[in-house]
Amino acid sequence: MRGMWRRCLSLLVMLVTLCAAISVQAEDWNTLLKHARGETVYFNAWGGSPRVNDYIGWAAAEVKSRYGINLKLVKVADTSAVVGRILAEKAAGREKQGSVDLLWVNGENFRTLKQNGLLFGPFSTSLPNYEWVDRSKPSVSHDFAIPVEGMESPWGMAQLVFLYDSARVEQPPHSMEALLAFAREHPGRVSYPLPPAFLGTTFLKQALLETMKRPMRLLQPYDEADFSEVTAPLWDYLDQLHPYLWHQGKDFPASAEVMNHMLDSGELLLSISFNPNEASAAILAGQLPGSVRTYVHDKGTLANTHFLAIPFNSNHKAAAQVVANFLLSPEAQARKEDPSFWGDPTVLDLKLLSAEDQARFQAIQHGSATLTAEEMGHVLAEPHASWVPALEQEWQRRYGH
Amino acid sequence: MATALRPLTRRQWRQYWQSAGLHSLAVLLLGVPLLLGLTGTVLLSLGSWQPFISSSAISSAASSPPLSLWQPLLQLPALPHAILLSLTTGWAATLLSLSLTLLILMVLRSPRQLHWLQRWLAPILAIPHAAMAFGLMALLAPSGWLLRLLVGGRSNGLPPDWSCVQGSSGMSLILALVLKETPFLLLMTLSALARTDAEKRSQLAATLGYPPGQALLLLVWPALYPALRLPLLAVLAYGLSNVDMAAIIGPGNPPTLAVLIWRWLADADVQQWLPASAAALLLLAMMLLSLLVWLGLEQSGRWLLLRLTRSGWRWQWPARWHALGRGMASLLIGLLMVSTVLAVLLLLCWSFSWRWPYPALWPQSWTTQHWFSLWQAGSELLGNSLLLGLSSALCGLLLCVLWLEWSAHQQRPLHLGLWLWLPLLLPQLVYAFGLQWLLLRLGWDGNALALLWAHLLVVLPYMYLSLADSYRGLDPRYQQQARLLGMNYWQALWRVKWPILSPALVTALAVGFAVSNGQYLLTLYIGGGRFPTLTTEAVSLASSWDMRVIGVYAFAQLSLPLLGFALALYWPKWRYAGLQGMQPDVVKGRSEP
Repeated sequence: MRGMWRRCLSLLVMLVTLCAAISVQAEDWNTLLKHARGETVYFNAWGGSPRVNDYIGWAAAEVKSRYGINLKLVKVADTSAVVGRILAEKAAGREKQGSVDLLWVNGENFRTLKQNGLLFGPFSTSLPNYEWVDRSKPSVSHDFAIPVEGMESPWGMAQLVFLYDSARVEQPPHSMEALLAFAREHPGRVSYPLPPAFLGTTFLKQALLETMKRPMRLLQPYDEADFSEVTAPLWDYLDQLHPYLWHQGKDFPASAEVMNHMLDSGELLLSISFNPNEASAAILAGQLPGSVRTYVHDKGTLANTHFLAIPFNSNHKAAAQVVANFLLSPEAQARKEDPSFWGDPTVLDLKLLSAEDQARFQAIQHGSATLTAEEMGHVLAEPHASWVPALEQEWQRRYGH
Repeated sequence: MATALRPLTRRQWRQYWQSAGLHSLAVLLLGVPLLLGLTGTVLLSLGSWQPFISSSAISSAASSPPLSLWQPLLQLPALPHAILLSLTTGWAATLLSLSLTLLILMVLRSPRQLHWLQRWLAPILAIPHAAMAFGLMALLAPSGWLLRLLVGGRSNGLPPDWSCVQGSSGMSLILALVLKETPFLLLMTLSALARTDAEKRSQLAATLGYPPGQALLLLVWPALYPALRLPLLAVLAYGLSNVDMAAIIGPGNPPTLAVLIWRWLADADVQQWLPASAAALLLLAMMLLSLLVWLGLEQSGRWLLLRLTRSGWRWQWPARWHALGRGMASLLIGLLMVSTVLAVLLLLCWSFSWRWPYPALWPQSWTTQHWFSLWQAGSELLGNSLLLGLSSALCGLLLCVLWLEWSAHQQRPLHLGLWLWLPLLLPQLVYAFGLQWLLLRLGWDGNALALLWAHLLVVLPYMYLSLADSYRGLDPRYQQQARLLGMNYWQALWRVKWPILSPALVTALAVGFAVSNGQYLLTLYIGGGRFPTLTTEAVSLASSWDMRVIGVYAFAQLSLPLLGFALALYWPKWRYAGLQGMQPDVVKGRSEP
């Protein structure tokens, strides 16, 4: 009897604290909203895609009318330049009035920011809309094997896919081995972006994961001691592949965007993307022919999440959090997933959403070039971010001249 | 001796102070930021700039002994190739542009032709470098328009795997540079021609029995060269250090040294910035060496020309050869002009296309959607570009006139040479990073005034170059006459000297405006991303490789400077209609009365 009372009491206490916590959180959020009103958020993001820019333009109009926040998109050609600026600001002792309020980031850039204490947070897990986030995805909690720990708010999912034009290619290669055979069959029509371009390095990682014996090793940090042993299969593979590549593997397209352009003209037969909806969205935008399709490798492909982060010296942290929260809302996420706007997959778990919000996602026309969830196969976790510089340097040493 | 010992008069003192003031103004405006930026880069390259990156990310690099950063850089297998590429493309482009300029002058003799040519040069100058590179890609790539025209339809539906652009030889980069630099050199030569006694010299040469081509080389060229030295060196410096053209149409693996630095600076790995700064110094050394070699070549060229002139040797070629030479030269010039025009037209075509697959010669479907999206986003970009361009050009004009007017009254001329050369010859990659740090320290970054200052840094030299000769070359008797007629100093300036110079002043404004409009790196770094312009937008959208959007922004970017040049050309015509002597006619020295 006593034990039960005690249990009931403890339950009650837990309940009360939980309620209090929730109400405190709600109150906190309301004061945050009050602070955010009238603030200007400088959102630095890669500006190379008109579709993304238009989507952010829509979000800017929404946060203006809903929360009175002025969202200004600063389009940059490269996110690292922004990371460099924040680092320089810290070095110059600028603790306030930072030039960046919100930043589109992941992977190595996040690693640099986090290691150098350049981030505000933890904030993301206390955003109201975070409760819908699909926390079962490992890449949401670990960005390139680096614990996120609330220092950035998830924004979109990415999984490596390959693009081909079904009018020109009947059967695309579904593994690195098949890719080698395909390249032999179509010499000069296959390539990958020049590392250290983002997707170039990703291709190296994918090839390494498919050729090596113990892929789990890559989740641990890089170590000079076993680097050559671990990566030997990759270099063997590339040595075999390169003679059959575009320009005999002496030269590489500068980025995945260039490869899409070359896929359109037929200079290349295959292209590469981190967005499973890329092909459908590009078809809708007139960038690729309607016959382009997507495929993945049988062993699975690399997947990651991209995030929004707030620098330590932002003067508009309240408004930046409100914007990050809005971009996590089912409404904003559903619009983002629609290929006629952007086509970037959601980070939300649809099962958690209300019926009304689920309907938003079900209404999206993904287009014939997008694979279904089953066809996407299983995902491979991104190697620890510390592998990236080592892989890039070794590639440079072997093929960079 | 006696004069030296005599105490200075008040007037002399005033002059000293004024001259010191003007010099320090130049040093403050141009020298200090550049030198500080450079110092930052040097410190960074030595790995000893702890306060800059005080993080664990580079602790291994920063704590190692100085110069240790240079070792991995120098051992990089791509480095010798990259340096060689930079040198070959930069030098080849400069020498080719120079020879083409001379060739064009030899072929086009009549003032009418030169006048026509001059009118066409300004719009070509207004084409942004990156846009030109993209236009050439659209023309010359394996899936480009030229090959579609030649082999399209006959192949298996796929473009050939040729490396005609971005090839490791850098040929396409050289071509792109030549197409962009020859018009610049030609315009500079034409304006220099008008200020020399070229007509008299060629007449003299003709009476001495020199054929026209040789006359140009032996007698006219030495008179022109002093005015062309700095433009030529600027062309060489640009060729060696440019990023915007080389990253698009240049070789990719390895790229030129400047692109290599650019890639490192854009790397997420902070460790890469240190070799990048070391490589930036290497680039600087390469440029200084190239300048020295150029000055050496200048001396030997002078010696050679003197020997040739003294020997009294005359070209005794059969008339047939002359005709053939002229024909070849005309063909070459025609080809260059056609490829420029085609490149621009192709971009225009792309900007209106919806789908344009290989091997179709014309777009399959058209749209105005891309232009419409520019229309929606354009007002802020346009406003920023206009405001920045106008304010920096006006400030630049004010300073240039101040310097020139003052130096006109000094016994000793104002030695601004070094300070003006520095921003032209130092690659922005070398100092922009350090300059940004300096402004951050002062808390001035992202500030409109700081951005204006940064723009002035590059705008001033070009404006000064464009204005100085006309300003100094004006006959002082106009002003003397005005004073004799009872005007005071300021009235004489305001009512006589400056109106007479107004075509040159307006041209300088247009030049400054165009230079300011073209700035990407400085606008982004110093402006903290708060001042998006047409150029920053165009560069960030260029990474999409969507030729349709690139086409739209190329034209948007080109429109403002073009408008500026057109105004500079037509405003005096309208303002001083009926006053023949006031027309901006750079070849008037050669035109018939």
